[in-house]
Amino acid sequence: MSMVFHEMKKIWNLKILLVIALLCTLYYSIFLSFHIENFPNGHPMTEDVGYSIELLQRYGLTLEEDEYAEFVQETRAKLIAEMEMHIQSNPVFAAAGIFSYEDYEKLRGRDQLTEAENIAYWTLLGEEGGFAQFKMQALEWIENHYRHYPQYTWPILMSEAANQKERDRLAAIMETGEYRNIMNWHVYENTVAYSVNLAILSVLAVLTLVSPLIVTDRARNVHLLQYTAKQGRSILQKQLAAVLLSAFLLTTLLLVVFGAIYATNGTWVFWNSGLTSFLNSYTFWFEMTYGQYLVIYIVLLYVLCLGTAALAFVLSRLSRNLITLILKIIPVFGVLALLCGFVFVNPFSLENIVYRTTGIPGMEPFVCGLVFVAGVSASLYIVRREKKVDVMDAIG
Amino acid sequence: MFIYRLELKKLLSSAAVWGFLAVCLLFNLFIIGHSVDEYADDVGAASEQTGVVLDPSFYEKLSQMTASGDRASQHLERLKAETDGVTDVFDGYETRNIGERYIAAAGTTGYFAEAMRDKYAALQKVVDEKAKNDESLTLYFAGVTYSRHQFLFNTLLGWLLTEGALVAVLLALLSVGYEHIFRTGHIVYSTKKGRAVLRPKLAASLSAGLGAYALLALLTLLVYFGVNEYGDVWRSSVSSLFNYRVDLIAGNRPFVTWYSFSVLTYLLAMLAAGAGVVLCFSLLAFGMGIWIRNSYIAFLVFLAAHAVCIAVPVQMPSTWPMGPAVKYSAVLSPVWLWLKHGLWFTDGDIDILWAHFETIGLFVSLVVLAAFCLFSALCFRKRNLA
Repeated sequence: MSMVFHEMKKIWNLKILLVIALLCTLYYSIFLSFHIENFPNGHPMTEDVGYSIELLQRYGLTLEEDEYAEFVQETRAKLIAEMEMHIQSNPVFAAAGIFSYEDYEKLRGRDQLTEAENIAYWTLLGEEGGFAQFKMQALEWIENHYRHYPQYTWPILMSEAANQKERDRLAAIMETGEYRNIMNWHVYENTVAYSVNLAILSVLAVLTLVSPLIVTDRARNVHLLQYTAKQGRSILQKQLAAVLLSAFLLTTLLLVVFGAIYATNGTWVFWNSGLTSFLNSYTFWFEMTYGQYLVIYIVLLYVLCLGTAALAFVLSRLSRNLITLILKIIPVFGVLALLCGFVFVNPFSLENIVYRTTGIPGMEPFVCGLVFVAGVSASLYIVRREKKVDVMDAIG
Repeated sequence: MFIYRLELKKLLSSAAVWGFLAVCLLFNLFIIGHSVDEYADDVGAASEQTGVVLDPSFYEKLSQMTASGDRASQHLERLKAETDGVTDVFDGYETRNIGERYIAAAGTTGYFAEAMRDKYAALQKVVDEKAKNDESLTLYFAGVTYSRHQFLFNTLLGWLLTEGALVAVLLALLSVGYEHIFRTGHIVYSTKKGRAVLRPKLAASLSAGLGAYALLALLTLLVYFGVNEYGDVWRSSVSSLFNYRVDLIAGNRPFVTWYSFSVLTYLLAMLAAGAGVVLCFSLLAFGMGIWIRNSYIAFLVFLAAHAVCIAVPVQMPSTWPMGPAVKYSAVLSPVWLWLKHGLWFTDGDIDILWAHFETIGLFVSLVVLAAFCLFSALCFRKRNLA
């Protein structure tokens, strides 16, 4: 174990750690910060998310017919009262000949507005009017999605289903009323966008951290010294363990840091919400909650990062110097980044690209597992081969 | 010259470099495989008979054309419909609004707002000239011009540039770090040539990088033009009425270039400017390689430096006194030129303040980076290598 620890000390080199920290910071500012700083992104997304949270807090995980009717009726009355209050108190409405909510509503259907009417119309869409009109739009959005799901959305999804499996799943959703789950689409989309980018960053960071270990030793001919020691050629086994352990630790570190940053978005309130929902555009193969989705994502990310580390170990062993190592890492990173997109964009949904390509539901863990098995198998082969290799040959 | 040849040989004897080029080529072939458009091919074939200038002779020849087969007939009818009654998009076209919208969207004031206005005032003269010459009345690829233009000049050339830059950077790092990697530094630097070996090394790495870019471009474009029929479209103007730009701020608008480019001359200009960008990246990597002996760290620092160059102008609030200056100057750096490659030789977008930004950017970057390389080499002459 102490050998593994010493190899890990070589991997966790201060210079590389500083560069990785810098790369992570820059990556965050270019690709991730947008999903934190701009969530919810403007109006009426802010109101959509706000109402979804309110629904969840008032009625629990699902929205039944009577609850829906009560919420819509109450909220609409409250909003109309709020709008009436703004209309009565703000003179721009009187200037445009608007004295009640009904007058304001009539504007919405008109093609041409006078300047005064235009100002009045936009007042209820702005901060001055408490974004009341956006709140109304968000309410209508919820109303339409709930009412339309069994009437329009579900029949369209059924007619567009590619095969019997999809039709069976859709039938089950309707039969069990799973569509009544409260899960906001914007929240899900935001989580997916952040998680895909985080997965790519994790793969990049793991490749950057663990790749130089073997090639640096070989460039300095340290391996010849190591092979004459008591440990002998089994050192490579220890180095593989150190690489995998380092990848695990780095992935954990990245998940903790970037997970903590993401937690500030407050999307965790949906932890127990089912992903298949009238408020979400995607249909999922399994009855899965938002929390379960996040746990599965974390597990898959660990599997992918460990597979990546094992692949990096193989590439490092097969490279003469650091430049040839980089030349090999770049295409591997390209493929793995593409895989992240395939696996982590809408995983376990009917729209996931892995499912769309293979036609087999739930292939996402298999793809990550394949990377892991391929990487570890190749590494074990390299370790085993090392026992008989001619040490005077630089590549072996 | 002898040492230059040997240095070049060192670089070209690396199997990993050739393997990387092969992977890049395979990737390019993969994306080319997804670019096939039968209608565009038929337009290209038809252009050989009709020519590309939309004048009475074109319409006469087009009306006399016949097609065999359902698909070809449909395509011919579609071509007739798309070219029927078209007018010069530059007649009465005003560019002033574009500048004003950019100024309003970015909240630009003072010198920067005036510079933006000046740019679009200059563009107006170009547009008037194009209108006078009926430059937009050319065929290009009719209704599928946008997708074909974007694929070749944005997607394919973008990937070529990325691949060429990566190879050039790694070759530069390999060249400058070779003696450190193979522990031959003490022998090489104690010879008569000594540390002056950096000169042939630089020449070798620059020529190898440019050569790799040229090789990739040659093979990729050979396949691309072998698969896609261009016919006489080569002579068509890139500012054809069928070509346009998607602009979220100023709205969709014609594709206006500062000079009158045909598809062929635009392609050559883009490839030449691409070579300039590759050269810039190569120079920077070489300079960094002199300072940072570990090639791996040098490559990571190279990436981080460019990420900083992207992130700082994006994150910097435009209300800061230096904000706009940093933002507009950053566009002249190699990494921003790389990001904006689809807009080269045009007026650019909201981030671009000056006309001919790619030429200015390349000139400034090449001068600065050549000076950086020279300075690094001078420092290297007196560095303690122990």
